[in-house]
Amino acid sequence: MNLPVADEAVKDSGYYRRLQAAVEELLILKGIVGREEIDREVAIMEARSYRRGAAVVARAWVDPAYRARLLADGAGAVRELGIEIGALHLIVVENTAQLHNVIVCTLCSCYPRALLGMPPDWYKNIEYRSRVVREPRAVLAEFGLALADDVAVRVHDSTADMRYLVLPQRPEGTQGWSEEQLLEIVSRDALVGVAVPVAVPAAPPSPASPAPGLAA
Amino acid sequence: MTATLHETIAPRFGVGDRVTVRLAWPPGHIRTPVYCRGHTGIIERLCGSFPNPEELAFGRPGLPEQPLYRVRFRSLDLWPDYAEGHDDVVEIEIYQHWLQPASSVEQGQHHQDVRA
Amino acid sequence: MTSHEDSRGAAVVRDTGTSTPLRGPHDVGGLPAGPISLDEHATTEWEYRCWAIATLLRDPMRGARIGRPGEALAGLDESRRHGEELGDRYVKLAYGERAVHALTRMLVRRGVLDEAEIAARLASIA
Repeated sequence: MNLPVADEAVKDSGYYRRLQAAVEELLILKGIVGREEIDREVAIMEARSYRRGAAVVARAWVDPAYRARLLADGAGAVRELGIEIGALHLIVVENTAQLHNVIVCTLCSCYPRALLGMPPDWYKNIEYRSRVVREPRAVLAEFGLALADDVAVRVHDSTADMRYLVLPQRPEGTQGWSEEQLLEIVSRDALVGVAVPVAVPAAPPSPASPAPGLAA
Repeated sequence: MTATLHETIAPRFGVGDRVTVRLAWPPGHIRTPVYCRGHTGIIERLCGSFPNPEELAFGRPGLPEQPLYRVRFRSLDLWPDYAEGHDDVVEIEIYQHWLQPASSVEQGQHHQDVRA
Repeated sequence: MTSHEDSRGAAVVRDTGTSTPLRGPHDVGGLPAGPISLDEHATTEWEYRCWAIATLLRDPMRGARIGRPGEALAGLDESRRHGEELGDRYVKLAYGERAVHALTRMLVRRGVLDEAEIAARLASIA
């Protein structure tokens, strides 16, 4: 018996969604995993958001000693903020006026999920993985980011056990901003290096919608 | 061989050493991208030691652990026709068993551009 | 593509960038590719649950539940390998679809589930 694979017809019929359900039900019936265990794990994953990474960046922007610790020991500095990242090995790479960092995993889609949540589709797709090592400036331009000629690009191919976070430059025009205000201008894409933060003041936070994803 | 969780191989390279990636195409699950094989770069840092993923991929323990490095390659060295910035680089995590000291023999022995 | 053997008998080739048995379908760094689509889909429930199960099964305590103490029932690199073994079909599947495929193959290969029982269960799911 062979289970079908990669056939357009079975894809369209929701085959992989049904296969996931079949495997889950069998594992539960055999007592290998519990439904509540899976629910709990999903809840942990759903609570993770790039905003945790943005909070790390905002702290590094206002606290030079924290920034130094973050660059020396990424995971340790993230845990200082009470962010639960398990056994994540994190390397933080800093953009400067002369250097721009961008992250990829050409072989699969390694991404600091424990810190930032699930990676976006473009990060997992073949096009980004193929091209960003070979023509990073052309790729960044497709994201709307034009780098000056005198800025070197450093592409990090996350092929093994390390995961990466870009520490962007704090933009001009943010003097005197609070850490909370700074957090709001750090996008997910800036943490991967396909965007840079700009000093656009955020709308005042609504009391009805607290910032998601900061809790562990 | 009796493997323990602490069994590791001593690091062979230091920061700044020039290393050449083995030019080889073994079967199986390989975490050394094709585009850097045969090329020479510089050790940027030692990341620690980790079980060998080529063994883990087949359900084996992957011991002894292999030292893992970040190796910095000039983009122009990886692709002689690289048309963007002269100072652009790519940094790749590579396990020690894929690295050799860059010798005079190995330097300049880059395989042809993968797009050729 | 040309090939010869190195001193230890391992195949050594000059890669020409075309798809070959020696360049896995996943190993795409540096290859030409089209424009990057910035469309994003929200992770679905079944994609989350697949990833959650794989995470739980990687715990070395998990095997004790089926009389295999000290044995993890899944591995990250093992899962990647099963995805890579899709060959030319790799690019036809979305990331989440490859993940379900790999999880299933891994559990079958490890003797945790068998294909017949999966197929039977599958038939009962709408």
